[in-house]
Amino acid sequence: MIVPLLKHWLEIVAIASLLVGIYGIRGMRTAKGAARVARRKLLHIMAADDFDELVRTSKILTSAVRSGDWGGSGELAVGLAASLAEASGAWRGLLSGHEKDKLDVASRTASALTGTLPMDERALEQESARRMVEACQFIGSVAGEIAGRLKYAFQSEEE
Amino acid sequence: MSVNLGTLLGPPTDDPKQVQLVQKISEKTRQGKISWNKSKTGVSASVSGKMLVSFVLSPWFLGLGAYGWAVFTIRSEKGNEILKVDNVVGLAGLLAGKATNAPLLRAVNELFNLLQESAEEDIDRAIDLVSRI
Repeated sequence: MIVPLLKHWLEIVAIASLLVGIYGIRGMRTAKGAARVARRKLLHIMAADDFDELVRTSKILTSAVRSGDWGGSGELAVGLAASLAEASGAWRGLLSGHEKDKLDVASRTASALTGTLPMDERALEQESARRMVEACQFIGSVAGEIAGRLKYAFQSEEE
Repeated sequence: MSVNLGTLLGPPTDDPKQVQLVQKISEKTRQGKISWNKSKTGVSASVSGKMLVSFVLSPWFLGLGAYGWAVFTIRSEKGNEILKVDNVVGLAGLLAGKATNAPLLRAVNELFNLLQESAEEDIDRAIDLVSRI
């Protein structure tokens, strides 16, 4: 019984080493996979935070436009246009094609808004002000939809 | 002296196959074979899970005024862009050579109008349904 085992000791050692190796690689792969998921989750939540910030800024801009604070509105609109462009570049890899299109349109809307805000403190026609408020709300909605989707992705991605 | 902008811009150069693709999507939408999902900022539909068709809405864009669309895109299931149409209107659009009566833009406009009409029909159906209670 022992003699045949001794005869094949080399094969037994080789198989045992192979099994240890396979388990080791599997463990490493699992660890690498977990690290990849954790990194992706972190990116999702960082991106969601960025888009939440854009929602907040668009809300402040809406209030500034409503109250006729054109100086403040101008500054906010310029900042918002820049932040939208930045978010579009930074998180492009996490966005769907449709979201990228929406973000580009939101960015163009913010840029168009900066060009149409009055330079002095004169009151705007009600219709013009309404359109500006609509534009701000559109930008906020785009950022809000993307933030919501990213939060869902963060929560639903398995460890 | 009047100048015909259409003559200045020359004939539209849209690919007839692109126009045909958009018209086919309109036809299938009319037949109820493509169902569209609406959000506050866009409208999109999946075509047999193989293509994603989408509009980005625009509340106020380059003087367009009325609530319209800004970008129309068709993408493959892998996200590759098959067709993208920008709704460039006004003088900027004309200078960029985008005649508003170009066949492709007209086909996309027709599809968008069709979606708006079907939304109105949904409301009419709902009113009808509630009336029958």
